[in-house]
Amino acid sequence: MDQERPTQQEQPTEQKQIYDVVAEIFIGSMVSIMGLLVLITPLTTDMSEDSPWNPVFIDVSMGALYLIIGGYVLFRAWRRSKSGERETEN
Amino acid sequence: MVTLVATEWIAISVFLAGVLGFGLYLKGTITNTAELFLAGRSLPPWLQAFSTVATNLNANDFLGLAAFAYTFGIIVIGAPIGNMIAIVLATLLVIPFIRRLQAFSLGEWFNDRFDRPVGDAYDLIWTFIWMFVNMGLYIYAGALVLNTLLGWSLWVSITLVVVVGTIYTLLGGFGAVAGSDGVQFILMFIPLVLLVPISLSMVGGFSSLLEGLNDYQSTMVPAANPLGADFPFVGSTLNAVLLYLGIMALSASYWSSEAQILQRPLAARDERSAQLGYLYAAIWYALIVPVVILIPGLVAAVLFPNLETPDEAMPRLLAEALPPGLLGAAIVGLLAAVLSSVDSQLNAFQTFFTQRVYRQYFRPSSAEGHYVRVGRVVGVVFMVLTIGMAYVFSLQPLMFLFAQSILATIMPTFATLALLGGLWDRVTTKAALIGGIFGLVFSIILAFTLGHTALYPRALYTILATTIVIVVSSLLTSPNEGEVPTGFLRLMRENLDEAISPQVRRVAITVVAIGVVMFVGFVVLFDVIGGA
Repeated sequence: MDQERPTQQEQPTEQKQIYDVVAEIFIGSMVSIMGLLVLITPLTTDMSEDSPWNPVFIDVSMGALYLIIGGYVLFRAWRRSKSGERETEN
Repeated sequence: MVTLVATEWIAISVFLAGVLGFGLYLKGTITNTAELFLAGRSLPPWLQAFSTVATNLNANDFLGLAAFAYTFGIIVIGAPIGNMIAIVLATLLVIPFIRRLQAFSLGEWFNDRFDRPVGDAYDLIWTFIWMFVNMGLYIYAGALVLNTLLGWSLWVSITLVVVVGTIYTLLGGFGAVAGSDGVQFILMFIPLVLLVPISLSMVGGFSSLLEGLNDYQSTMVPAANPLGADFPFVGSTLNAVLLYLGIMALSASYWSSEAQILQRPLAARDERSAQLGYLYAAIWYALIVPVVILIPGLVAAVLFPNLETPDEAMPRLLAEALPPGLLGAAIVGLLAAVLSSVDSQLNAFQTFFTQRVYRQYFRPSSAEGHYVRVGRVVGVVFMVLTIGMAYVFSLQPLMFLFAQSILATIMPTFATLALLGGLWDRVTTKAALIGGIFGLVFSIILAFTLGHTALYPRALYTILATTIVIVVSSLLTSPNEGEVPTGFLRLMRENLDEAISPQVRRVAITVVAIGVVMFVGFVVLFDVIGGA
């Protein structure tokens, strides 16, 4: 039990990275688009004035937060794919 | 029902198109079963943790746990704290061994640690009973969200969940599962965090919240909570202590033996990564869930005290509290949550059926592509069959209670086997078989005699009784030839760093410390300050 069982399902490291990069691009894109849509909602919609908190402030701040997080995840994916390319070249 | 604005409809459309495109892209990368079922065993710890949390954040936590807090009060905090303890236990005693074996399921490790019948029994019960029940829960929970928020009929909602979930998962496999989990986690987390102060201000502050709750709902140590009615000492604090132990027993059962949850660490890069990913998920339970799920659940109990279905508490609160725009993002997060749970369960079923039933009993040595195709066909059949189970859930007053009740019948026995098998080398195959049969029969008898609401006493009694039977049987029987004990305790004594890596140890200690501080903090908040 101390050794890992050899199996035909083991993948090379380079191939394994595909899930990280593709998943991060998907997650980053989705979150960024949602952030953008939340951000522009106050421009395109009448915002109710009897909301518990200022709805425009909430949409602008949370939309911006989504954009920052989405952008960061996309940046991670870009950095990871760059480092993957360098490893392949070397 | 809420009226959505244009940007919210765009958000929903973009998300649905995005997940199908993502699944389609991943389809081209899948050539073998490890890629389809376990994302090529490549998940980093952070994505594994997101994926674990996201799987629970739909039916189990987001709707079910909030509805539980809505119905039974703040003592439900025992569930996330119990989850935290259970995750730490499983991280030490189960995860390293199943990941080291490169298994597809806990059953494979059972067959390695003990002998074949033990693991086979687990795989068959899991594949043909629990997974149908769980998928029914997920489909119904997803449909309920769409029904409550968008006003779509339950059957239209069920159809949408089934069709999109099936296509997405069958195309993209576990890689697609992890992708939707990540989107869901980020999109839902921000509205959830915001929901706490907004909902508290809606109810008039913390003191108004406490005033609006029933006596047993607002205390961490209720002398008489309906959940503890089947434990002895009703009317005394000891009853609450027993209830907490029961909650922890059920949590331990879930985190040590639930197939789709254990699939996350199995998809991790290596043993240490699997352990860290599991522990990161525990931080969510120790630190975040008590605040962002339970408090809103309690607020909903005060704001909407007469909901026909308590499971509607959280979607209803979101619709009331969030402005247009952010509500759309939260609905997309919920849709991702629905998909995340559905695709996880579907992927787990495909994995179990193909690897542990079809491959083992029917076609042991076909080409990898054949198993991938079989996985996709049985996935479609499974989804069609579970629609009936979703209908059964729609007839239950509290879906979480019903699902947990079935969980309390199946899981404690296997969790006891897993935890004892990982911890104590003396456990023999014969003892595991005797204990397994005893535990399942005992828990079924308890289910029929005590009923759904007594799920916590049933889980606790089953674990205690099964442990006694396994320990006594082990001392009276000798080991079989092929048993492979873990050597965990011996390694702990001889080389602690090898038994548990220093990094895993540090994270585990941090997680437990956070959980303890949160629990004490809530006692102070609800019973010291609130009781004064």
